[in-house]
Amino acid sequence: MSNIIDVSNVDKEFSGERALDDLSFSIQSGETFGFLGPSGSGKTTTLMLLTAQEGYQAGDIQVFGASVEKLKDPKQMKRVGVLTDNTGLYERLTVEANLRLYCKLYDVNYQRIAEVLNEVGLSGEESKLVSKLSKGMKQRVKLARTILHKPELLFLDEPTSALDPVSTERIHSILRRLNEEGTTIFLTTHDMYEAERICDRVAFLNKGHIQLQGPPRDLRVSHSNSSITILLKDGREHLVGNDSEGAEHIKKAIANQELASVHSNEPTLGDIFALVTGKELV
Amino acid sequence: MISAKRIQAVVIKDYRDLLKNAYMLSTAVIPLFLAFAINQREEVQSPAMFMPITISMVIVGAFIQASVIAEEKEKNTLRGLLMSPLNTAEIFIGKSLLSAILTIIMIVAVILIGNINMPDQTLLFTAAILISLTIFISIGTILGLVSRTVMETSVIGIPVLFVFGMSDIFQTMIESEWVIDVTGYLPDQQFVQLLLQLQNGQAVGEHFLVLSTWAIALVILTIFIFKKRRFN
Ligand SMILES: Nc1ncnc2c1ncn2[C@@H]1O[C@H](COP(=O)(O)OP(=O)(O)OP(=O)(O)O)[C@@H](O)[C@H]1O
Ligand SMILES: [Mg+2]
Repeated sequence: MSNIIDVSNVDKEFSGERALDDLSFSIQSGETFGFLGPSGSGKTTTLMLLTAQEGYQAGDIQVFGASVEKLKDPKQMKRVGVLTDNTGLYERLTVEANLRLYCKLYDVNYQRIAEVLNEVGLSGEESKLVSKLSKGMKQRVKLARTILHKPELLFLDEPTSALDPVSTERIHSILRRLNEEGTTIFLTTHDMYEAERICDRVAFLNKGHIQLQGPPRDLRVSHSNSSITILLKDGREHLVGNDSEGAEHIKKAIANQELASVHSNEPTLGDIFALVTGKELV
Repeated sequence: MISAKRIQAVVIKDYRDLLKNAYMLSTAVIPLFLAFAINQREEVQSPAMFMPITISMVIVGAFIQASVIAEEKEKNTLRGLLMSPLNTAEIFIGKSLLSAILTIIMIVAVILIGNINMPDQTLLFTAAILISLTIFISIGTILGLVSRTVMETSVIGIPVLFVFGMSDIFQTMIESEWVIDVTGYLPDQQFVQLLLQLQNGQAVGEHFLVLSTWAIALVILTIFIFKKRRFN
């Protein structure tokens, strides 16, 4: 199993103020890893450290099997794509002119522009001025710019924050496809649905420390209180246990043709987050 | 390490962007108006005659350079550049190159529009222009580095540029001898004096020395501030 990112016991302080506290986690090649945490928990800081834009006081960060500092080498830089929460585009220029600049910087053929715009669903928009685009479209242009050079590893800081549901869904499907094609993705979010939908594994970040990590499904199962809600056709709801007594209850409801629905009460990631940190996500 | 291709990409991008920037374009025409005004007047004394040239360097060389750098920070476009294979030296070389080219075009334009008498010693004249360009582009780069927004550039920049670029205009209002002596060493006055002496066929070595000292000191200061501030 090859780790593409290895973080061990990292501390980060900003002028004496602790932002990250004994942070440890690894990301395997090919996975989508989500950092979930409320505002100020240290998500952006972690991303800055992982992309060598910020230093740290203690611990060790390895990316591609070498010290994170190596990312400053242009050759290594070409292997990653970074989309921060305040990445800007040149508003007075067209979509195409924005992407052309990055084609030159990354030594990528201009033909890639049409390809990448198609990937993000913006074919035919190349001659539009960026200032004339909607927020969701701008975000997709930024994503197009980030994946222009086909990076193996993507860093995305809240890629869908403040976007409408349709744009969010679009970005999610783009990310899923990139991941299927083999791109490793590190993303931060404070949206538990996003984490659940596209992440293979998530880490809960609270006050700069990881409280819990694992695949969303496993986290939900391990924090489930094993109760089942059954809804009867007359509108009554019953809470039953995940045991023989509960089974009996459900069986009876089915036999009497009273049953409307059954669903297990797995907690959401938001519930689990609140449980382990005592804090709400947003 | 430094790639001509990447620098060219920056120059082209900045050039295209400037062409669509109404604020910058409207600022950039000021020297042209000045040159036009000077052309209209019958008797213009020599020092004032060179003003459109100095103002070109102040506005296009320094002010636009500063605004372009500050805008990359303000609009969060700089991060993307820095995360690409482009390095910071290339960003600055690209921007300075464009400022230099545009300033030279502007200087040629004001000379033609203003019908300004140029010294015959073209080589020395060109050298004086290039050294002064280095001075003003450095000042612009420093202003761009220390301000976070285009607005800030104007606030910090205007007084600085008045002092460094238009001090001879205020010279007449100042009574004190020693202030006049000191301000006489400012780059704009040295530049104008140099041109005047060139025209009169007098020695210009001392002015070249002072201007070169300014240029070297400002380039060093720029690099120092750049290393220290790291754009943030
Ligand atoms: N450059 C900086 N200087 C000083 N303190 C900083 C700096 N950057 C971040 N911090 C502090 O570090 C902590 C973590 O901030 P960070 O931006 O990583 O949070 P975040 O999880 O990304 O929040 P958000 O969801 O709001 O983006 C905060 O307390 C913040 O004030
Ligand atoms: Mg953040």
